[in-house]
Amino acid sequence: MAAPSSRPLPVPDDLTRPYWQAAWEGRLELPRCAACGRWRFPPTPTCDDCGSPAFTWAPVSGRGIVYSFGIVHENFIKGFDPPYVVAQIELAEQPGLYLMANIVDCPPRRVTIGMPVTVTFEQVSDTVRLPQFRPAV
Amino acid sequence: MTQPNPKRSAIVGVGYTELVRQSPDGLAALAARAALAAITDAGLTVADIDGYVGAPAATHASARHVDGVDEVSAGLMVHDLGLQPAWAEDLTGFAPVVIERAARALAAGDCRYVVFVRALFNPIGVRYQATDRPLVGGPEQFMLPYGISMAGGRHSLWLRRYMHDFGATREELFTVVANARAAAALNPYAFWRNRPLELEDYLDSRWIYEPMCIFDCDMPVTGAGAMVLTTADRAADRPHRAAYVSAVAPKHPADGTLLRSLGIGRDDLQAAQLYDGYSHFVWYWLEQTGLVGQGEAHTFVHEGRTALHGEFPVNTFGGSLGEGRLHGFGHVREAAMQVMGRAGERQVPSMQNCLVVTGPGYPGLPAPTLLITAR
Repeated sequence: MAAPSSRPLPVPDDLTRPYWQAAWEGRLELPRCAACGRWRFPPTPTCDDCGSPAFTWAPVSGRGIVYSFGIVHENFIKGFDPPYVVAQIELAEQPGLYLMANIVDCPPRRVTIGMPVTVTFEQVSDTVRLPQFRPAV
Repeated sequence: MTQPNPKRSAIVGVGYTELVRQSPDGLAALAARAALAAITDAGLTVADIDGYVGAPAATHASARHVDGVDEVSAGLMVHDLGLQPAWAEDLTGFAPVVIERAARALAAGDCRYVVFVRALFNPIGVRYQATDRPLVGGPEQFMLPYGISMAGGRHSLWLRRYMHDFGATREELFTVVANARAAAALNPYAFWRNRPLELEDYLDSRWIYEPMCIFDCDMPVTGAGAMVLTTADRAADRPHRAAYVSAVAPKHPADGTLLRSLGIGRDDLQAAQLYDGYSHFVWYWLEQTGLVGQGEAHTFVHEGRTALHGEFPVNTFGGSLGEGRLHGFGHVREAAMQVMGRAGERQVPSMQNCLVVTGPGYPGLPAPTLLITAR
């Protein structure tokens, strides 16, 4: 992928700021329902399951599997250099807890569905580190 | 089935422009042409039209959202057509959202004849889905920084997972595209008419989001469609047989229960028009409506059963894949033409009931649904 500085950068809001702050500090943290314990992502104001608005930010293991992936061959978004892999990661904490990321440190053709992966953090600006995933060793 | 109701809506006229990549005509002129064609087709004049509803949104990443350029507002159309509407509104969403609102306005007596317009513009000189925004918020903050565009990215992932789970192949997916081209050959408006596609060319074509290739994507076009709706009791006086809107469910869950909640089975339908902005949406909608079981769609299509002359024809006009990207408007138009008995060489015999589902096929999104019937 090309020079990180030219890529689109996230603009944190009240709901997402703790996510990006934790990522900057090298931790993957997600909102977890304070009532029923269910994880959710992306952050939403209420629990997908029980509807409770009460939640806490809590660290996850950063381990998961590739639920599915695509290889982007067309350059639609400035700052990227196809081909590159975009993947839907199913985190170990909960069935159906998904997060989208790139698969790094792995040639695109080596990525497979079900492949175990682990989080890593890629610095893309002076204030942003993106959670990314690489093959688990 | 829904009992006949004198206040239910009926489609009584349709109008279309040519669908081309780019047009020297402005979008407002094309939209007006389609609207006037629909009004004439309904045996009416502009003075009879007292309702207007549009779905103007240009949804691609490079859209500028300029009225009259890449979108056409109700205000602009009312002015350009010289309408004096009792009701005029712009809505966001696919055709079932618009038709539900129009049906309620008609049933309430707010107006007598509504014209519904959808116009799409393919910009010149910019890449349709390209974006160079440096900062992104909302749901895009978890997508664009990874080079994932909202439109295509997640759909290719769904496709790969489906292929993995059910052993579906690209050869089977090609059947969706080949069916679309075959039906498009009989659709005078279709962008891809007279342009068949061979399996070899499909397999050799360039990737967009692998495993999705260029021919799995519908073609962005410039053009417009329109239709006139009225109540069933007025529809009987129009020149063409009416196409009744016997069920409308803009937000029905896409969980396989649709046919059951409509109280029908596949055998009650003679055809379906299923939104195919990407080819695999046909698989998705066949399964998520309950037309076939989970994991069965890829073989059901590959066996030829959804072809124009198959046992259960799907996208009898070629779909968006064959006709061009009108965001599902073509699907509604075709359902109406089929039940009116006006589909020409594409006409399905004994056509009574046609299911329409027009929305992107992705888990968590609704199945915007219409049941269009001859009675």
